[in-house]
Amino acid sequence: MDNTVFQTNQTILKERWPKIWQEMTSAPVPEEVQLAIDLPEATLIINGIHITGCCNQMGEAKLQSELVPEESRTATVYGFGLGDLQRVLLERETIEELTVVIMNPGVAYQSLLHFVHADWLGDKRVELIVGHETETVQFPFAAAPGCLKLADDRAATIKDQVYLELARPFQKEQFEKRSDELDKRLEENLSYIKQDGDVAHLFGTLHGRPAVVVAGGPTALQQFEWLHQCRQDVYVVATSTALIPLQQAGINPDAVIIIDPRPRNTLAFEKADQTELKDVPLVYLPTVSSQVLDIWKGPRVAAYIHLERFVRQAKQIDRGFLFCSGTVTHAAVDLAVRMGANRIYLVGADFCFPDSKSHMDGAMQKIDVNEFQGFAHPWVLNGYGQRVWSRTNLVGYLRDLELYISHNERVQFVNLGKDGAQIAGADWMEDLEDA
Amino acid sequence: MLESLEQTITQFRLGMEAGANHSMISFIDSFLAAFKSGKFSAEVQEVQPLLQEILSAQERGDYLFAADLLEYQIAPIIRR
Repeated sequence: MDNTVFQTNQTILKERWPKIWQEMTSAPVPEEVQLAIDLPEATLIINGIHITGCCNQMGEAKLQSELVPEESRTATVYGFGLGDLQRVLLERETIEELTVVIMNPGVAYQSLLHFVHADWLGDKRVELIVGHETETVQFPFAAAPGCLKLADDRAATIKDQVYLELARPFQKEQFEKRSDELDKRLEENLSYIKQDGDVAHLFGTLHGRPAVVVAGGPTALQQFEWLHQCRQDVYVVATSTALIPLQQAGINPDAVIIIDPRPRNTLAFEKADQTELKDVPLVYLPTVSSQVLDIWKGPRVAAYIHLERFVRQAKQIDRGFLFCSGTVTHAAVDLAVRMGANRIYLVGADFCFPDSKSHMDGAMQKIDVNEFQGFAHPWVLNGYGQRVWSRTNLVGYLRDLELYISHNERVQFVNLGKDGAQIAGADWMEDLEDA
Repeated sequence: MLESLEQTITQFRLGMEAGANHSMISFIDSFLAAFKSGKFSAEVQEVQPLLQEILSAQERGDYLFAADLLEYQIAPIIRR
């Protein structure tokens, strides 16, 4: 270790950001720290993750900096790294403010021990913050991928938000691939939309009654006994994935909601006991399979979500809109909120794979999570503070639900099933006095 | 093949994991197809352990190391 390098780094940090310095020095030391100097360019390898590439670090930093438009006056860098990304951005005379977000103080400290940072740390345009101090991505931004991967638990929310933003171009591309198919499906289902009910007619009908949203996550099964006991006191909204397991447990919902256009739902709905559902409304997105709509014997109620094709369609046939950023759980929660529930119990809203399961037993849409082995997976924290592996889309749904909850303060959200993800803004059932 | 390789490298370096993993699948598929048609048979001894190392890096989320291996070890072989 070059003591001079560290001393100089330390001096600037202590002077400009004494609290952050304090946090860095008291942060846990990573389990495995390797200063890799026998590579073309030295770097740090922490817990098996290279903090930077080791062949052309400046080229890599320049590529990463391209996410920030040339004319930007402010920018944010997520990840401390070895400083090159910060240097590249600070070379721009247009930059007036650069915020650097430390995703893991312990990792940043290791970088300070071995690499020069005093130059960019001393730049008056730089502001340093720690990941847990922010929950919203600031634009424009660039990211140090090694540091994102090594984010600590307290920075989980901002880490996930950054990953979601980085994933947007890919998601958009995937979405656009199916666009023609879904436009065609919408066209085919026009006759259903015209004759069926409007979800807006359900809004405001609960008058403060509590609701239970049953999603398809693995922990849902653990809550069915509780649901049996309070069944008469709550309005149950079942997602399409939860319908069969609920019925198998002897519970019939008050409403079912489906948005998934995939044919696999037909099989699930064929297995449902339709005699018990003849008075239960099916709230559907008009891009679902028409076979599902034909199978349903109860009333059908069309709903839109805020995508261009539905906004366009609403000009021809007006129907209510529900919030949804990709999962039926969102739409189910928004339905309960719009219906006027004062408290919403979230059952099976796991957004991860507890016990390496994708859905509760009995759900037809269950998938083999082993398919995802071989890719590094994101994680979320469960109700016990433990990391549980997940998928990028699930983490995105979780963070979007948290944002939704923060905008609906008049409703109390209660999360059941501590093996699933913590949902910010939702109380755990065990913590309620009047559960 | 080169296009999916370069896309994978860029996306790994930018932290665009979802896109990079998808591009990686395209690259591997193209490479295997090329190998089956007789290309790279002379290089297979060289490429196989590298691909193992890249997949291992990908599995643990060490994307910048994976990018380095792809850019500075695999790409030169493909371009030869």
